[in-house]
Amino acid sequence: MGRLTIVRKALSCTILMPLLGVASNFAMAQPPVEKVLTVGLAEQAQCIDPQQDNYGYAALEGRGLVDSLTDQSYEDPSKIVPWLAESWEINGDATSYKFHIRKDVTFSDGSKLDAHVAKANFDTLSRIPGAAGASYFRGAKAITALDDYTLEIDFSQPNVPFLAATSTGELGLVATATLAKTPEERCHVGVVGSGPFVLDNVKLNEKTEEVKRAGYNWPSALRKHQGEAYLDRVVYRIIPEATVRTGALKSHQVNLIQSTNYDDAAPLAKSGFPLEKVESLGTAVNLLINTSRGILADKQVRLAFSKAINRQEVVDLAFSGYKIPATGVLTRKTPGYLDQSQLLAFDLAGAKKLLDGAGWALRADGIRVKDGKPLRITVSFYAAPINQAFLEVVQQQVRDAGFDLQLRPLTGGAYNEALLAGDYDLHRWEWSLGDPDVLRQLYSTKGLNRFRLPPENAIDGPLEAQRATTDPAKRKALTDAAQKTILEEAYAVPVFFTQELWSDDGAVKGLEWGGPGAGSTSQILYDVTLSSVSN
Amino acid sequence: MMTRFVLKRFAHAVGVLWATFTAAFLLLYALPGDAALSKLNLGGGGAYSAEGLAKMRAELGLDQSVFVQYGRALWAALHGSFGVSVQTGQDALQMFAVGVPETLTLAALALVMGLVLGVGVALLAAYVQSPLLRGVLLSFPVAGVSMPSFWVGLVLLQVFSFQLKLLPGMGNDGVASIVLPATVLAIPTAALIAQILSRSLSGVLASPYIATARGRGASRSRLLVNHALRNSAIPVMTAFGTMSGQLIAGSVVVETVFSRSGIGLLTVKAVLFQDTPIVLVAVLFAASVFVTVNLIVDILYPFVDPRIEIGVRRLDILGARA
Repeated sequence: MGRLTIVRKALSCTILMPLLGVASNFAMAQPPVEKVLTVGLAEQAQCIDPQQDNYGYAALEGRGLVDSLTDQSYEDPSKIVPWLAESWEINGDATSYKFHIRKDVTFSDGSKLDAHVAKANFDTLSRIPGAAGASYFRGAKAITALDDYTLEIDFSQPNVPFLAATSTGELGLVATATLAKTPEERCHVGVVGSGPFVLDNVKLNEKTEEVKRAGYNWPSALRKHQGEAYLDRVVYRIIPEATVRTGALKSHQVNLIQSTNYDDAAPLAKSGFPLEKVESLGTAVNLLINTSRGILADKQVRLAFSKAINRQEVVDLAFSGYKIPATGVLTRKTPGYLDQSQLLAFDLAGAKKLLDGAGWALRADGIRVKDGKPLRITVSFYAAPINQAFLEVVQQQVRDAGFDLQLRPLTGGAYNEALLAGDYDLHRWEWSLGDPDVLRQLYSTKGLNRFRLPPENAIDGPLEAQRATTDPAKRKALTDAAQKTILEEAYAVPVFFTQELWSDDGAVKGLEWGGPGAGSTSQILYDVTLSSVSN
Repeated sequence: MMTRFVLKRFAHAVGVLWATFTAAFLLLYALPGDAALSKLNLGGGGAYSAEGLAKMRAELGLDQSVFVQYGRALWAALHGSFGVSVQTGQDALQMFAVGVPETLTLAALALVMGLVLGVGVALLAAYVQSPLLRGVLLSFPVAGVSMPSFWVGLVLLQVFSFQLKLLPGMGNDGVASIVLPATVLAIPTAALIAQILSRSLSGVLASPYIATARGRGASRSRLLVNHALRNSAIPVMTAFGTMSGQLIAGSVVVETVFSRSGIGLLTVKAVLFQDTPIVLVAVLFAASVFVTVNLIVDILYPFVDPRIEIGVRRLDILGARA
């Protein structure tokens, strides 16, 4: 063949190939016989073990694979209902929990669930370092199977939040076969659970496929039907780009997308792709103050900083109105929420007065000075556009009061190290949990001591005590006291409540939410059906 | 001569691999934070405790001195073991190997498409008589290199997948899903090839032997393809080494935009997580590809242009030795 012919053939092949591709695409696009829900997720957790992963696997892909002893209602988080445990007893000071387990539950590999398997689950879990679920067992003295279907867990200290913890995906139960594997293996092979869905295959960073569990018949008391799930298959596609997720939804390549782009949410809703806003349970997005160093050791300065922030404006400018201005340390849906909107009202005049009173004089360029030093503070945060966006608004707002706020975006490792070392003036964080114990988890000086408080402080007392108080009224008094102190001393500056934006194609019915797992609200697909009417 | 040359190059390659391994290891070590911190997700919940962190670091061997850690990693690597990924617990080599075929297919297809497109544009530009048309054709490579592939990918995705619904926008299922990503990757490659080739062609076309061939009645297309092309190919081949690196790097962007699994996204996530085993495998892979491509290109030179001899030292060519 002459060289010219080769060139000609090559050129025509290059043109032919895309056409072949298009043709094959149509050949593959057959009407599905299975009822398949395709979800476009923004990220994929790397460790596919709901008990171990610290990045939200237990709330999304992992939630349908395992069942928990109890279930927590998202609409009313103080409501905890039976699931794998038909009933339970808690002793007077919450040091002993006794669960009575259903007798008809089997795992997807056919093995039976009983108290011995449950005990093995918790024993193994509490020994895996860094596992998400392990933290709930700190202080556990003994885990005993009293008989085949009764499990008792004893703590050395009272542990009131433990009941809510048993509803999380992180304490979802797995089969003995999974327990026999090493934690590393479980992280990449996945788990065998008793849930309404079974893991079919996983392609790292691309997709996860789950199929319906045949014979499933033990949903929690909160679910709307009995028996197997309605969906035959769930495909989670990982689509890191927000605009691509929107396009995928509009072109019906997916049914449901996570974290809808702010700019697309309203137009999508208008063209028949409804938007659902899922408010988080747990703490607000707070700026946590390192009270041990520098300028922010002065309470007046901290209070002034909080007053200078116009939270509604932050939400409108940085998030197109898709977040909620904070009115307390906990989000408004969290049990134990205390409304402290007065303390969080925008009050520029008040802020200026406080700073004047603290000896900070106004300089010509608008920044305040005292003893020759400018009012400069640094906020350290995980480098992501979403954080940069709202902190830039805050930066401009507090400048009006005379603050020179410096932004310090940090990537992964640097962020972790700064946090550990206390190398920050302000640091931004929040966490999800359907229980006020989240205050202790985040703010207690016994953990990371984010406020860098001295051992003699006003919040450790109530935070430790609430964990041990079974009387709901007394417990509320303690968590209220902790929240009041946090804001009156301005240890933390709540800015907004976060909510997740989910858009679907109008055909997804029966989507439900549950108590949070590993930092994110759980998504329940058990009652989901796909109507034939869509756009 | 050939054997000595290949052996020398092989030794050189080993040196390159060792150097990249060491550089990557030290860089990762020097970065703040470590894999244990990443795994604990320090940000929230109760997972963190000082003892838990210490225990995890001990388990991952992160509490040893840098020399010990490096020595261990190097020794294991020489035996073909890169340890276990901190994120997924899977054998690092295995985990990486799963993504390699996908990225290689993508890169290979992109290379072929880029080659055909680039050569086509360059030949066409040399073929046309009208200076206006030539100018337009030669502006394509410039445009191709200037457009960020991220943007091109998103635009193609919007048009061909979301609006016209002709091709799938994500995943690795079937021929259809590779078309758009390969096209996006092919464009900068084609641009580079077209640029280099058209320069080279115009140089060769000015040679006396071309005039002779034309004088003997060769048509324009025959001149180009049968006479000029082969002699213009050397600079393009030299660029292959750079291009292979470009393709691997470009696959990161393309895999993100088109939601495909492959080594690109895997490597980025590993770097952010400071998952050293995976990063080391990735770095070694990239270095190996680079070295191999360059070696193959060097071996192919004399087949394309017999005037070039491999392994001949410069003094010999100049005739200083007998």
